[in-house]
Amino acid sequence: MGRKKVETWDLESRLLYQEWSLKRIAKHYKLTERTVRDKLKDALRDKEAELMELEGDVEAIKEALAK
Amino acid sequence: MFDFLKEHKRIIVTGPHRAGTTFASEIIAEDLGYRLAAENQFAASPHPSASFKLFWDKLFGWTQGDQCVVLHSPGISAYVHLFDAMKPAVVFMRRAVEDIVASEKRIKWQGQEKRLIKDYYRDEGILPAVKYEIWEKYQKPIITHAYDLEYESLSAHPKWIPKDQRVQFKPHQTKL
Repeated sequence: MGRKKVETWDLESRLLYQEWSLKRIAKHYKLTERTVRDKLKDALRDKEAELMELEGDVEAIKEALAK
Repeated sequence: MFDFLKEHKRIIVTGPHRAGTTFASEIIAEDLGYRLAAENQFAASPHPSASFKLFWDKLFGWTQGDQCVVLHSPGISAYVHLFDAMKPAVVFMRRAVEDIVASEKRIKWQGQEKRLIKDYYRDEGILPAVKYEIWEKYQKPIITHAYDLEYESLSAHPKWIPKDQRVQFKPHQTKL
């Protein structure tokens, strides 16, 4: 499917752009699409959900930013 | 000036680079008394997966309780609709494309367009024009709290710096 198709902004194009934006945000943050989808689902289900697997790295960055 | 945003605890300010997102974020946060989370605080993180989590946290205040926050991020313009699940207010900066392009040229920013335009499912085009097209045609209709904010309207704010005094401004500079 060519990229020009998105310019028509029909339903198919909108779905295509939705998928593309998921791919790009995953690439931007070097995550898998599945991880991004799971995070979005978590947020929808319960915004208080903890993403424990990343917590260690986050704390390290927070400490670095605080210095 | 930003009373219309008071009902929202989480505000994303996005749009084209060089459209006034930095200045708008600062004065919105200051006027409303919200915490400002700037894009460059996490975008350059050496740990991309952690920066994603940090971004998430800053946006939705998971780690800071229920604190109000303004997130400045022109970099997430391509996928800002993905965050609508948490119902933030999304403020999209509007500025004449020719003025944006002139500003990009002034600071020699344009080399990044070829890479960034791929975020918008395009191979070519004028990046700010493509951003506005996607905002209007795709994103704004599906974002629950979407707002346009005209760059020129900010001239009514006391912290606005007139154009003739901004000609030597560097990227992200908002004060003399």
